[in-house]
Amino acid sequence: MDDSRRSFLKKAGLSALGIGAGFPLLRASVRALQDESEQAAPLSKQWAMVIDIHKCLQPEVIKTCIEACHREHNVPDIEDPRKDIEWIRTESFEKVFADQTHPHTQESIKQLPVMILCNHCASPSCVRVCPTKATWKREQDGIVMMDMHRCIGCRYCIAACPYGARSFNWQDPRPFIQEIRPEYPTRTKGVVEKCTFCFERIAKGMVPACVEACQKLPQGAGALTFGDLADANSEVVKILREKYTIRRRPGLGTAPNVFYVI
Amino acid sequence: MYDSGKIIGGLVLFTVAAAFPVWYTHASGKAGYQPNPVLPEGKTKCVESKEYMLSEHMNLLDEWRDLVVREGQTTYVSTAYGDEYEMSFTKTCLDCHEKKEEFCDKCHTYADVTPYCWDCHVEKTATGRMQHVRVGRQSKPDMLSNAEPSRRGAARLEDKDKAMTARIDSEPSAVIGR
Repeated sequence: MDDSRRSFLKKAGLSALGIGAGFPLLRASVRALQDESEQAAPLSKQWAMVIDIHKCLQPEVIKTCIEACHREHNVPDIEDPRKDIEWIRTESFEKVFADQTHPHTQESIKQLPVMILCNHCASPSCVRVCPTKATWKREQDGIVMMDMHRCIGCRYCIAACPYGARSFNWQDPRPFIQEIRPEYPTRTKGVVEKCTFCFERIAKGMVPACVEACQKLPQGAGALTFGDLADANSEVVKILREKYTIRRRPGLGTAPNVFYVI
Repeated sequence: MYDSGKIIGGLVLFTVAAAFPVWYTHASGKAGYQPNPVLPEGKTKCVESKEYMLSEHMNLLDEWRDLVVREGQTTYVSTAYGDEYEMSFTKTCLDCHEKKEEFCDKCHTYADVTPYCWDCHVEKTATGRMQHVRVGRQSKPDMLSNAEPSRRGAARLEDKDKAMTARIDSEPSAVIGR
C-alpha cells in the first residue's frame, strides 16, 4: 500500500461526492423519462365531442343547446358581458379559428357562428397552472374537472386557457338564475366554472345535456356527437375517420378533444 | 389595612357583577339548554348510527365530497347497516332533512358555526319545498349595470338569432365548401 493518507482521503472524498450527486441525478432522469412515457400513453377512455359546424348554423339548434346546458347546471344569465358566465356559447368563425382564416377569407365565413365549449384538452394548460388542483384531468375518462370546494378564485386557469372556456363568478350568481334546478348545485362568488362534459350525467350513462337537446330537434340530428375517443367503434371515432375535422389552435399543443367538421 | 370594609365589599360586588352571565343563566334555568333539532318524520335511521352522525357528520360529508368529486364514486355503503346510499348532499341528506331551519340550523346556530354548504347546494325552504323559483335581477336593481328594464336570456338570445339569421340569409354561400 503505497498510497499516502492524503491521496486516500482525496479518493474517498471524491467517491462520496460521486455517490451523493450521482444517485439523485440518476433518479431524476429516470423520473423524467417516466413522466414523458406517461404523457405519451393514451388514456383508457377519453370523452370527446364532434361539432358539425354546418348543422350548428341554425339559430334554433344553437339556442336549444345553450339553454339546455345552462338550465341543467344553474348557469346564471348576467347581462354585463364582463361578468357573464358561459359554459357553451357561440363565437364567430374568425375568432374561433383565428389561425385558420386570413385577410382574404370570405366575410360570410368569418362571421359564421361556431359553438365553443371547454375542449377537455389532452394536455390542458389550465391544469398545469392551478395551484390547488381544483381543476384536474380525470384519469378514468379524460374530463377536465372542476372542484368548486377547492377553487380559491386565483384565475390562473382563466389566464392559461387559450380558448376562453372559463368564467369567473364576480358576484353571487344565484339572483341571476331564472329557475334553480335543486339537483345541481349553484356556484358561489369567487370560483371559476366551465363545462364539465356533464360528468354527473355521464355517471348515469347519459350523454351531455347539449347533445341530448340538439338530438331531439329534427334539424339538429348529428350536430353534436359525443363519445369515447379511445373506443375504435364509437360514433366520434367513426366521424373523425370519415370526415375532415379541425381543432382549435392546434399549434399550442394542448390537443383539444372537441373536433369541428367543416 | 385601611378601608378594608370598602375594599372587600367592592371586590365582592365586582365578582358578583362580573359573574352575572354565569349565575343569571343558572338562575333562569337556561343553563341546561340543548338544541333540539327536529328529526324527519317517518324515518327510523340515518346512513350511520345517531351517535356517529351527531359527532362525525361533517367528516362524513367531507369524505363523500372527495369521493364523488375527486374519485368519481357515487355509492356509499353504510358501515352500521350495510345498505347503500347515493353520496349526495342535496339528493340524499336534504331529501330527508328537508327543513334546514328546524334541523341543521338548530345546532349550527347554537354552536355558532356557519358551514358554507348552502352557498352552493340548494337548500329547501322552511316548508320543506325546494326553492325552485328565485326572482331574478328585477328585484335587485342595484345589481343592474344600466338602468333600463332588464331583458331575460331568451329575449337576448332571440336578438342574437335574428342577427345570425340575417347573416346566413344574406350569404347563401356561407356554408363552407359542401
